[in-house]
Amino acid sequence: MHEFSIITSIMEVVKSEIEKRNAIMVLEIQLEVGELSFLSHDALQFGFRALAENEPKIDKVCLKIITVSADVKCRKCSYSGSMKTIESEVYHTAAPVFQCPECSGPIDIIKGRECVVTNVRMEVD
Amino acid sequence: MHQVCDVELGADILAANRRIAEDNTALLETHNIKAFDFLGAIGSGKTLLIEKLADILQSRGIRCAAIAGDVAGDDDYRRFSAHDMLVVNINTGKECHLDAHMVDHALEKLDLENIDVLFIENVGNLVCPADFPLGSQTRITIVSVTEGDDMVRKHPVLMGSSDILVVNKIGLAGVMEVDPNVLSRDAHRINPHVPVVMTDAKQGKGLEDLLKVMGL
Repeated sequence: MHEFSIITSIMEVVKSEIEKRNAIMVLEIQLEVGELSFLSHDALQFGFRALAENEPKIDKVCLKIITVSADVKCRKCSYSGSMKTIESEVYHTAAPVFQCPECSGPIDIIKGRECVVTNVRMEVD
Repeated sequence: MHQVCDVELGADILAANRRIAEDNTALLETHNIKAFDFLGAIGSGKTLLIEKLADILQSRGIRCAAIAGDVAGDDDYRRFSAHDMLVVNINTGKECHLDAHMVDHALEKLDLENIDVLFIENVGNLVCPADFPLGSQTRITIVSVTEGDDMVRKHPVLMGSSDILVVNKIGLAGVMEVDPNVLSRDAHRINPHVPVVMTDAKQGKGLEDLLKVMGL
């Protein structure tokens, strides 16, 4: 469960913004999480609630998590775009395939592993 | 009157780790060190595999070092030290993974001038370490047949984070009634380009194949 260390960093970012803007209350934090990251949304929400509990300016905040789909670039052809996926009852979800959807060549991940605090909505004077 | 304002941040929480990992890579490359980080569940055989690989490499005059990552204790540190390697122990305490910052500090304690190959053994955990690149050039994921033939398909995205997959303890496949080829097939469904090497570290099987894939 590495979500707690991630949430700790998010709290630091938000607290620094509160201080910078002398905010009264934070209303919403928007977080973008790449679909290829190993972060569980439920664990992030749980960790956030646990750590926000003792923060009067953050404790009522809504943590909005948006999944960012992955983008790849082929090392062989010029393909750049979304990943191929396989639907199988084995995975209970669409599993990404790490090869070029066009030429089956090896790929580099361009997007999809990030965890970004994109927006903080706060009440200020 | 209070106002509501939206502050656009774009603060990437994982970016700090990535930056330090890149610095670690640059430092290792400056010293011509090939670094490999080993990721796998507890009991998958990471430590023994590193010990066996180090023995072979050291017998060829290749100088090895290791960073032993564990939640607590110095068991792996002592095992690596017995193989005439420079070793740094990292106890992560409550953390379930190594991160680039910890590895950065461990590198400060190593005599980088006298190392050709560095092994970084992550905390026994197949999921959490995957979000934290450490700066090694190659990430090796180990699964063993004793974990069951469903280990790879239970962790599909992990196959995309691995440069090499090792299927270990194949000598026990019969007893476990596990077909190692199932693990290999599942890995290739998700990542057709990942090299899969079958090993039995205890029996010394597959080690030369692995070294070849590691470019050593």
